[in-house]
Amino acid sequence: MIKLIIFSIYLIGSISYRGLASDFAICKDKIWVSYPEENFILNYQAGFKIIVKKPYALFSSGDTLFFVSNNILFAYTKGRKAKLLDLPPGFYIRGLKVKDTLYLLERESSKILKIYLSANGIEQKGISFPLYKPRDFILKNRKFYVLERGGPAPKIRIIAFDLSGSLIDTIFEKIGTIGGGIVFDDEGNLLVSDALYGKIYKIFPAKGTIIDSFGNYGSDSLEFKTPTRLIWKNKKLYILNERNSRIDIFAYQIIKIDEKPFEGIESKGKRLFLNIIVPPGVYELSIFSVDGRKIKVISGLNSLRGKIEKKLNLNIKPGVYFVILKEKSGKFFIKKGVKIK
Amino acid sequence: MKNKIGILILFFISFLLATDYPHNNDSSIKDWDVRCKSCHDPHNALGPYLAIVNGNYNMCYSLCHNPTGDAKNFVIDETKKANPGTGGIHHAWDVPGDNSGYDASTSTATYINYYVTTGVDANNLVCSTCHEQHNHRNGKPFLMADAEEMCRDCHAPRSQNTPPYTSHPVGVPIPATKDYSVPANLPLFAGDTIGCMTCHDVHYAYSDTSEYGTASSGTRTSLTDTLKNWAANQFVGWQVKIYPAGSDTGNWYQVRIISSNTSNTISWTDSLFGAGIIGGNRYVIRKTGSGDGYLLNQIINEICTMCHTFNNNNLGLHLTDTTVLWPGGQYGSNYAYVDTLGNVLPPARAADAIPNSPLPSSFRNSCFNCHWPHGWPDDSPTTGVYPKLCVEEISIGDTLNNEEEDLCYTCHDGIPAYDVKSKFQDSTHHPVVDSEQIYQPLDRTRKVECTNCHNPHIITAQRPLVFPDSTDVLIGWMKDPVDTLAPYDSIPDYVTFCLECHSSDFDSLARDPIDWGPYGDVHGDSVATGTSYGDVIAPYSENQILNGFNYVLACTDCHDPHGSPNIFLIKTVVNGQPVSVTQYGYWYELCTACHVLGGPGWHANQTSTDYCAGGCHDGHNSSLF
Repeated sequence: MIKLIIFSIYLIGSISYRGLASDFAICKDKIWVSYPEENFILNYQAGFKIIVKKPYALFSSGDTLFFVSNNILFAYTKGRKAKLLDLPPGFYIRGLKVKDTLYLLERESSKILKIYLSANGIEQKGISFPLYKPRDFILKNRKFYVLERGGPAPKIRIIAFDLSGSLIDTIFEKIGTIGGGIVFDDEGNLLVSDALYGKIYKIFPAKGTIIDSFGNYGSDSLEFKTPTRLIWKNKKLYILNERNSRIDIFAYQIIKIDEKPFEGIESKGKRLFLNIIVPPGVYELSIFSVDGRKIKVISGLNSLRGKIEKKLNLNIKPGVYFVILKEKSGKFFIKKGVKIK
Repeated sequence: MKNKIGILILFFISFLLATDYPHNNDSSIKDWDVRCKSCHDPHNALGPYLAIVNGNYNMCYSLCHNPTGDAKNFVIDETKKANPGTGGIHHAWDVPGDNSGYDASTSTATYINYYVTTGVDANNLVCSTCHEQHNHRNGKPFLMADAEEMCRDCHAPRSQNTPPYTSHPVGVPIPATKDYSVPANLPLFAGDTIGCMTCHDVHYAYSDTSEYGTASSGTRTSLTDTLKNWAANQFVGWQVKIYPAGSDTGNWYQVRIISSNTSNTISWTDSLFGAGIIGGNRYVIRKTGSGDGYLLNQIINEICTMCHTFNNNNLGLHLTDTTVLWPGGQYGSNYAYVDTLGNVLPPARAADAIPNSPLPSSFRNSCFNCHWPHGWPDDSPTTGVYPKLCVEEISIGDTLNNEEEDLCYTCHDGIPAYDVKSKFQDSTHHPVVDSEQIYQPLDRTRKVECTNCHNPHIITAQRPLVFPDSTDVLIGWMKDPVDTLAPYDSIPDYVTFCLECHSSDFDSLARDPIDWGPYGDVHGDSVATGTSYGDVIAPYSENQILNGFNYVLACTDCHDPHGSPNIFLIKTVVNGQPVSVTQYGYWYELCTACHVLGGPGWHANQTSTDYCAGGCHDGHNSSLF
């Protein structure tokens, strides 16, 4: 019997920013993007910056944003930055918080620094792993899942350890490329980004098999250039599309997103009516099938006085599509699922 | 079978390539553990040379040269690729290697490698177009050839060392004259030679303030230069780039962000690998930023005058007066190209620019008001660039072209600067138009253009004249009566200057000069007032007793050298009096601007109010002038 698993994922939006960001976090529905080369962390929605040298390991818990700068762990909450503690020298690239414990991944010595926050103060403990240039980790069901490179020859390798650092198993390995980030979805599947080839793999962790994948190397929709950090939050997958300077947002179902409302697009029959308020510029509208095939591209849509008004005759089959509106320079990029009747 | 041959070739090549730090493993400096198979896969290679992936830059960036990679100090940020005029700090990549707009051609270059001609990156610039990533044998860091040679190889039309230049010369020494200086904060080659990389760099070129020097000593986290006297912490957040020195193979092109500095020592937190700084390490400290895409070693408006110091740094008004600003081409040139954000773009980016734009105010009194260092396309003929790297037609004395005044006219047509253009359209004017210069057998020594009298780099409002072959503004011994200088100050020696041409060598224009000496005539240094010729009007009435000198007539007291509606270029206002002379000999208004008639002496019975030439005053040819 052939069991067919259909992997459907929808691009439900993207946020574009300027420059090279290496990490991001979502804190109380606000997206923070870190720029270690530029020495600041950006609150994307507010345009507000936290000026800090070489910020790495951005993560959040509740309304607190954590990050590491020059071997110092900082906490930022309600507009105030506070030094939490000095860290042993190292290159801390990822962090997470579970209950009262912070975990920081140190790349050079392949350690996870475990930090207890309690009424009695702060305690630190390093957990060493026999890893090679780890890139990301996640804690689930009292296991560490660590993404590493596996040796001089590049690999995507995910290894599970118990909380003391003892090896449990190699969950997944793919040679000839490197991973950028890992995350679990709500269904217990591992999602991992392929930084070299611009793909996202969905892995069934019990068997270490790739259930499906999506994405290709490139700059267009459903394309990635060095995808790294992944975050799963509120049934949405956020992917740092590093060299395309954007965060792409996906879901297993079409859902409305709050990050960039995209109103003013309606379909009647095979006609698409655009009445969209967007910044002035020249836009391109692309229509994709739900499995990512590009169906139609309409170029040269001018936003006059901040509005695109257009009636388009679409000679395509009825069905569900998603529409991506992209400004010529890529500064503005939005997407919506539509049903063509 | 094919794969086996490939593997054999790879291993054979790997012996020839011999990897260098840090693209090697087991280094005594730091074991990056970069091995052949870090980049190559003998079995499943998708890229050229058995590279694990197609796309040269993608591999370099994604594997190491990213913010969380091993080469985090050498992040090659795609968002900071140079787009000249707009931004960027790295030479562009993933762009065509042949780009006539930048005089670039990799397809005809000498240093052609696989990446230039073959594979997914063919015809595009990628990392390995310039870098031999395995070793430093051709130059650090991992270069295919000497960096300067590579610039000139691809940008061959800009490799010019003999005039006439259509791009700024390279491969020539800084001239040892007072118009040039050896720049303290630009790199030269072979001691005193200008190269492409004197002005430009390839990576981390911020087009902002930079300071060069040579380390006296240092450590892995600091560099000391005892010749410096910096302000404390003035360089915090700036970048230091350290050039190779010594035998330490790890001592090369380290880049760090400065965390603090004292009067002569800069420090950073992320330790260098290897032994660290030694005496002799050249370095450059750079103010960081997003760059302007021109990849300059200094601020665009300041870089030229670091070498072009003109007359021992006595820069003229065009380079110091803040009102000097290119208003946009008026007479054929479409300079400048400025985009909607106010960025000044090069000719190659015409499609993104608004032509004929005024330069933005940040370019006030900069060299870019008149020059573009790689030449600006000539409107006629359209195949070349304007001479002298100018942005409009200009007089250089060796061509015949009626448009040679266009560069000067662009400003000097009344808006924004003094209207010289209309002066040259008056009924009498200096013959700057070529057709007016050749009424006699063509003799180029007779050619006179704006720059024959005015050197735009060094003249000032008060000292507007420079002999064509001189590098000094003309200063005189005559005193200024009413003109632009304070009374009694010296004005340029107009007499000597004008007579340089208006001598007997030019027979039809020859004039009997005033005897300027102290015992000569009264228009010279001889006492002008209290003589039998009558009284003169102030300020010429001031005399030696009062002031220790007499005012001596300069040619420009009576003549406007550019043009006039009066005959003989006679000024319309002399000594504050309106003067109209439209017929020969009718000098009355001219003379009475300074002379009191009707008093004692020869003019006691003067009745005529106009004609003066009847046997008496016959202009410069008269003994009674």
